[in-house]
Amino acid sequence: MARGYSIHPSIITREEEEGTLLFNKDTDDIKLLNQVGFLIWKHCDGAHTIDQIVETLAIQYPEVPMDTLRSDVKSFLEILLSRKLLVPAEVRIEND
Amino acid sequence: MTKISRVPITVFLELTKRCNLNCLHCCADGGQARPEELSTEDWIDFVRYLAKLKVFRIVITGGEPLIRNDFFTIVREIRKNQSVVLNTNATLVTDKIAQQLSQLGISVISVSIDGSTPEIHDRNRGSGSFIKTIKGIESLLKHNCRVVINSVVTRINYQDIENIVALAKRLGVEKIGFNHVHPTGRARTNKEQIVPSLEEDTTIADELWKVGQKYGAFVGSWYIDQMKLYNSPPNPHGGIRSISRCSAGKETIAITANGDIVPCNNLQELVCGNIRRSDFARVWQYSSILAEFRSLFKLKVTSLEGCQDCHLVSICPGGCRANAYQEYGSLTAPDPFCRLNPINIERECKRVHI
Repeated sequence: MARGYSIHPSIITREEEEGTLLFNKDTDDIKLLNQVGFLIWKHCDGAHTIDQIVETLAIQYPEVPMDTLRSDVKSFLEILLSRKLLVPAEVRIEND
Repeated sequence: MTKISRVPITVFLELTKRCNLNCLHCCADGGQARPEELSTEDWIDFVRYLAKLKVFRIVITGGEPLIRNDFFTIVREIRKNQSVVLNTNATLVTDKIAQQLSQLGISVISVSIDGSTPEIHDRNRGSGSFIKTIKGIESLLKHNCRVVINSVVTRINYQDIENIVALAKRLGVEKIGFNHVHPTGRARTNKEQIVPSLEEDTTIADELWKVGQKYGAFVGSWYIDQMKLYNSPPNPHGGIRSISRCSAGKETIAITANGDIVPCNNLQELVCGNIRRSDFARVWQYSSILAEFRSLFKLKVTSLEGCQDCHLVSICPGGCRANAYQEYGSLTAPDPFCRLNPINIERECKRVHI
């Protein structure tokens, strides 16, 4: 098992021209995600580990060093977690 | 968000015009139910539709929403998919109702208080209302509801501002906001009695500025924001600002007690449709009245009457369009509470001489 994230059960998402809106109906908190944020968000499905999310981004953004990507993704996920947009999830990996 | 949302973020639902109080300044003209107010089924159907559209937040207004027997039936339905903010006078809040509101997870309950004593508060809101409201707030806080106080500044209470803030602190609410009177509904009928003059507004702004310094973010007010604006230097590189003060028609919209779709609660004359007869999402996207209303936000503030020569055109967003419409009958009139606009000053000179 490895660490990943799932979408908080109180979240409603909505596409807008400016990006994706995340709304927590219990905390009344709204966050607007840009394209990169949405790419990360899409993988917060309880089936992807943080490393797998970083690897996905590395394919999309090969010019960005892996360490930078890893650090940015972790910070971003921590923000979403602190705002109750995500919940931690244990992700089963193939070797388990 | 600067663009128009695909559907609104927030919808204001005026559940009823019925109210157990008869406040002098009530901009909703609450009291008796209006003909053809929406039924429980109407509201439930509409709320479910809003959930499908992914409208995030519902603000419940009135009248007094808690006067409806079906209040909790409607709110329970809303809470399945949306957050709820409740505006109430809290006089009907019992311990049991407070507990139910808490269990439903209402985001914020905004309670109206217009004086620090029964003498001042009840002059505006009616005999016995102060005690009931205080008890209501205490019950809400006991059950861990998030409570804010909303206070409307009038000629009756403007010398009581700091006492009202102290009362709010003692009660333990989250914060307090002071707003000016919206010149519509009974506030228009009782204008001379309650709407402060521009000169009194200066005193009010000074007092709120002082109180704001003392209490910090606990106190919020349009008056404080306006003072900040007046005290700000013009932006030499900013050009002329566009009209942009509020989110009405961009992110928010309101439904009146009879189902009319209006840009905001204070513009109930501008009916864009009715939820019984019109598709709400289509009205949001295609209403010509909303389109005209939104076109205001493309205009520069110098398009507003009397604003052309103002030194603050690079930083001022042009004030409230609803207030302009209610006072002068035009959406491009000045905000009637701007103390710099020559049209307002002329109006006040006439008022004083009458």
